[in-house]
Amino acid sequence: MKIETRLTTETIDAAAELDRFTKAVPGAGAVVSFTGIVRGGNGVTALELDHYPGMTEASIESLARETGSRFGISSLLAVHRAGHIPAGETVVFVAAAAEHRRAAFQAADCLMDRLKTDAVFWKREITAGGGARRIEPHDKDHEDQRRWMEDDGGHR
Amino acid sequence: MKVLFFGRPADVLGRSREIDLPADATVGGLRRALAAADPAAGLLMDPSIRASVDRQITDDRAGVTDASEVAFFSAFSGG
Repeated sequence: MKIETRLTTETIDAAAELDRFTKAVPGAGAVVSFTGIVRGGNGVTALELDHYPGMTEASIESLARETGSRFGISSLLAVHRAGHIPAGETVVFVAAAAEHRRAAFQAADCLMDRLKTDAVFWKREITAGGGARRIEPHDKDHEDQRRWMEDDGGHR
Repeated sequence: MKVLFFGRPADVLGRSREIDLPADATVGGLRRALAAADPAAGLLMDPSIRASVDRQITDDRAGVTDASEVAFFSAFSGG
């Protein structure tokens, strides 16, 4: 199992990441990727993600490892941006490669749900007026994350 | 010793604060000492505010020393 995780304050080029990832997984029958984009609207101009150097990287790595092992993934990539991220730009990219599609879908889905609540980031929404609003996981995010605590992820 | 804050505690208290190691040299002891020294730090008594020692999440019984890196933070929100 190959796991790659990266924390960056630079722009994430999701298409380039996917291309590079796909070329490096010979033999896999399925690649599923997810790109999370900062939603604009309602006056939101950017997200600000604060992180704890060392602890944040370790959290992403351990979530990716657990997810990869659980679904028998051959290769898993997670790239997460931190700092000031303007609306419309990519905040997170994950890709999972597996022999068959189900495992790849599930791994990408599970990793995203877990990153939402368990990756070490703190988020604020920045609005056009210069205001900032602290964002914490909603009940829905916790529900999404809990789906994966059941034996079968509720999906099989 | 230096204590770090992230999330809501950082909004209220700034990113870090210096404090003498309390007689009760535990995470819980630090919470109480910080809250006693500054009413604004009262939010640290909220059980939803978690802590880490040397970048490992711990409970309030964990021991701390002058050399420990202790952080208090609100819920994580990634993705």
